[in-house]
Amino acid sequence: MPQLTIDGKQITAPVGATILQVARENGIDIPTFCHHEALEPWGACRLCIVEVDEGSRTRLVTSCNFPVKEGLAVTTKNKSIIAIRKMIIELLLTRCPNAQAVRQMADKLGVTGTRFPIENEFCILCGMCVRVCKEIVGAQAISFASRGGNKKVASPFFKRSGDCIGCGACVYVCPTQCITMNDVTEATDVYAEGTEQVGYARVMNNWRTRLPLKVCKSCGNPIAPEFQLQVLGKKAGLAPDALDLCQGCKE
Amino acid sequence: MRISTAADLERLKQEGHKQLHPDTVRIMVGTATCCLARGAGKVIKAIEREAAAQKFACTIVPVGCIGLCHQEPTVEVIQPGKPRIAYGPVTVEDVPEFIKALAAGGVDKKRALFRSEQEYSLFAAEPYRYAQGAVADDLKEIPAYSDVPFYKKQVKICLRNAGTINPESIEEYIAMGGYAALAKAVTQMTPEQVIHEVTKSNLRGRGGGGFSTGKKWTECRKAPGGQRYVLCNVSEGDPGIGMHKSLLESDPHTVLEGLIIGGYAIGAAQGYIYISSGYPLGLKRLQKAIEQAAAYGLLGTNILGSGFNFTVTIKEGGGAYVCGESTALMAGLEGRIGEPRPKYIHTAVKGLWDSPSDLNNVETWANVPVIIGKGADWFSGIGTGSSKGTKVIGISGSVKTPCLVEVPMGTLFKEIFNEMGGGVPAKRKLKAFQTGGPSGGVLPARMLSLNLDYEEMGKAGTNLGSGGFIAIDDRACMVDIARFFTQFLLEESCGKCVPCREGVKRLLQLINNFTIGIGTEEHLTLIKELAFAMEKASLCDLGKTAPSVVQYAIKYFKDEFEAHMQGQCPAGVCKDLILYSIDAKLCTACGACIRACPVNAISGDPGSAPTLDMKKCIKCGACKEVCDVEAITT
Repeated sequence: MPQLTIDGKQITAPVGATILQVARENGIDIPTFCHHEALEPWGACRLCIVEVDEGSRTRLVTSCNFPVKEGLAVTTKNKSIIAIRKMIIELLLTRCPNAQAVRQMADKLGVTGTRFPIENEFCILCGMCVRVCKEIVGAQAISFASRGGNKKVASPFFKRSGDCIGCGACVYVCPTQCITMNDVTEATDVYAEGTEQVGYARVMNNWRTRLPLKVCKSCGNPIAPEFQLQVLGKKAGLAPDALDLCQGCKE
Repeated sequence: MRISTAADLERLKQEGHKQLHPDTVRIMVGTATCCLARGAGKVIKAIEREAAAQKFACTIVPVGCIGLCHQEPTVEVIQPGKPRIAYGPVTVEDVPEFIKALAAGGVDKKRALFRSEQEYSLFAAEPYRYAQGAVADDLKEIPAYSDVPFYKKQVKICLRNAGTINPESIEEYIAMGGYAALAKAVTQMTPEQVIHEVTKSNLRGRGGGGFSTGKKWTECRKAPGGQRYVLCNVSEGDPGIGMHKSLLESDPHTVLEGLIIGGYAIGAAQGYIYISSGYPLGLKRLQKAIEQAAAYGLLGTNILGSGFNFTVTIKEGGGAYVCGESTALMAGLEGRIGEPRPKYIHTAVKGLWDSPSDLNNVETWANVPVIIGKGADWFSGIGTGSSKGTKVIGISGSVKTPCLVEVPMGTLFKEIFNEMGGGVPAKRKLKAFQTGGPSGGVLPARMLSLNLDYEEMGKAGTNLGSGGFIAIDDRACMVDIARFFTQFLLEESCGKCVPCREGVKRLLQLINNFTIGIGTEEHLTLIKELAFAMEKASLCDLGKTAPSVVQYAIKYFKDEFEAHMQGQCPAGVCKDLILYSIDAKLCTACGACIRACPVNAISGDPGSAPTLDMKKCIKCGACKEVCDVEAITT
């Protein structure tokens, strides 16, 4: 088990842990924006930057994915680290001046405003939605599109996603709440020739996807998206009719 | 036929010799992309047609680039018993006269550039002599290869075969000593010995990083794991640069041979070549090279009877600049989005599909056969204390003679620029030069006395990059240059990490403030502050080096930024700060500007200076471009 120091505190860390994990377990706070315990480290927001002294050299690394080593001396706060974090949050505040999570983080880091011309985005491109969809849900319905200044999260070709199961994991995990979904009772398709009733449906607003909801065989209330039940039922190896009833009717 | 022993290779070498030095006249036309752009494709057809019409027996061979981009299309001719003579430019119109001279057994002195008495060969103990005895008197007026200033200081290692062999012929490559290094490595050396030799040679990564190749190989070989990979990076995306493209198009086998030797040394059975989609000709020639090598058994199982198995797969990339970064390239190879990931565990230990992977640049690989063939001591005899060997440099921008050269490390930029590039064009003054592409720096002209050396250049604030050299003259505005490179990076950033994605965007906005004349001292301070965070906190080197061009522009050309604060663009480039006018005193009333103006803003009668209607003017600069007497002022 490697021995290291974080801000001068002697710590024995488990093998394979990251600096961030060890620091948080020991009550040392490091700000993060793209990190989630359930997901693989991503290292994109760069807020969790710390300085490590490996004996031979010191350098700035992201603590979320830097594995602990024997004899490592970590500094989580110093003049340049604070300057960098402040600049990063200023850049995010420029991009998303109206996102609550960004404003809260800015307050925490002592940044009150931005010196750059502001935009009005809400997505900070932390990639948590993309990663949760891939790593946890396994649907890979959404991904990053374009690059550089035009980068965004989208369903393939900005069209209806054929892989989205409407689970809402992306909605849940989004730190700035810019991904939304809602269930509607009377979804309708409108054509020139007339309209077609779809009935209960879940709308994934950001992914331009609408999934019909399955209704309970017994009471007729909506349960969950039909496609989601199919996928999950298959994954769990359930009988085709196992998910035909809502929780209430089952009991 | 399969080559299974060194004797087979020798036999093939003899066959290749016959191809290289046929009994008939061998006409070699440069057909790299640069040559083709200047019409080499049409020239080759014209030569074929003309030779048939004049019943002139000759072998017409497409070869690579000899580096003289400004003399293209270049044609080299070997007439039996005569020195090899290079001609250029040979256009389609020149061909009948040219062939007539050759068919008569003579030379076309009007277009002759230089003559070579012997073949440029690194491996032959006794270089092949084209002509025996003394030079004929009538040829003496053509300069000898060794006297041409352009070639005098060049040492060709990677480009040793460029322009001599047909890049699509493995036999010709073998005739020039090709694949002998591979035979030596797999039959006479252990993998450790190969790595030792490369380490001893002090070869450093030619992609810009300058990391010791031997060290990387050692780390990769020693890394735990079964499957390992060797990778070749052909993805230089720097604007205005094409060294690797030319290398690959002129001699794909040297890259391939290097890769196979690397595979043997590291213990990899699979190699990947990641090639940017911007290299269609290089890709075609590389595919052919792989097919030929596989047909001779130089790829596949039991290579040269050594029991070593190796295959190479080409993977085409989309041409993103960021995919030159090792982890982004590997993500691309795996079929994922080309985004870098942190390298806290080296890719040599955990790279492609989490296996130990050694990634080297195409030029680095091209050096390997020579190091093994000639020995590490020979190689490290060239260059400076810490930078060994040679570097291929592409010279472009404001130079008299844009060209491609290979010079020993330690050569002064002054020499490269003045002796090979021919200096600045007439009436112009060199203001700055740029090396290392968008992640390098812009340095003022006085720093031309800089050495071509990793450490020296690092100290001066730039880097070698992939070896591009762009000359910038007094017509350019340094604020605009900074804007150009930052704009390029904004488009090419992968957008994964915040400092790079958001930082470059803001950096560009700040620079644009100056180009429209609203920049202030505070903006300069903010650029500095932003650059600090980007350099320290970005995920990969693209973001870390993104602010360097603007920072060096501010450091060395602060006066231009200050002029922009006052609403002046001294070079007359930034459109928002200039108004064109016609200086009647200088104007010769030639009317060129009237014809050039796309919006008919310039009008006038013959014999008098035209007038410019500012209401119509779109400030495109077309009039300024065509004016011979520089009467259009800003």
